[in-house]
Amino acid sequence: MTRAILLCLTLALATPACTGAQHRTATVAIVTAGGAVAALHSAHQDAYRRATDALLARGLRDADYDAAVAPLDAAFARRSEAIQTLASAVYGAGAVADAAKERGGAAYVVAARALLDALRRGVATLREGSALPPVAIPADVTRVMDQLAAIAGGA
Amino acid sequence: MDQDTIEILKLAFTIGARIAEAAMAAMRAGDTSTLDALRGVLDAPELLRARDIALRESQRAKARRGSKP
Repeated sequence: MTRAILLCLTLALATPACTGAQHRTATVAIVTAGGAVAALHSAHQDAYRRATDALLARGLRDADYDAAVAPLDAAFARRSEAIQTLASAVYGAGAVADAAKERGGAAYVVAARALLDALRRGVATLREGSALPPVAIPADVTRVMDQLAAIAGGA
Repeated sequence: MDQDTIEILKLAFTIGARIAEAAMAAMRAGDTSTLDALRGVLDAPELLRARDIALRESQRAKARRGSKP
């Protein structure tokens, strides 16, 4: 996360000025994206809970459960890491927005693009059906991505 | 307020009241930082990780003999 924030701050210092309205829109978009990532995390947990409850419903216990849950746990860990990376990107974009507010830079465009890329990667990982079924991506996440694409210039 | 900001606020409201409230707070120029507003809607990455570990262990605990699913 520290690395992401440092990168974003560097970008913030290197970009030209923007208007207050643009900055405000970008700030609200970043906070809204944060809410969307929180919704993604809940959907990711729901997918794991349903899959492991299904094992329990089959009567698997102790060593039998441990053997059956191992591939699910591996997939869950991969998705968990993807969401942590995504959350880091959101906080990195927030740091950029704050730096731009104080320095008058248009770094929000770079931040929106970086956040959009992170969301695309994160959503792709969560959609992969492996040992766990694909995570149902909330529609609001797609709409947040559309808003970020508009801010980032149709990226 | 410009149209883009109105659109993103409408979207924030569809996600949830807490998100919209944080987004509105973020809009008020100068009295809050984006990072502060974010902390109100999204846990830090390390906290998300901890919550996932807690869920995994909670499910595992149910699988121990004698526990009810």
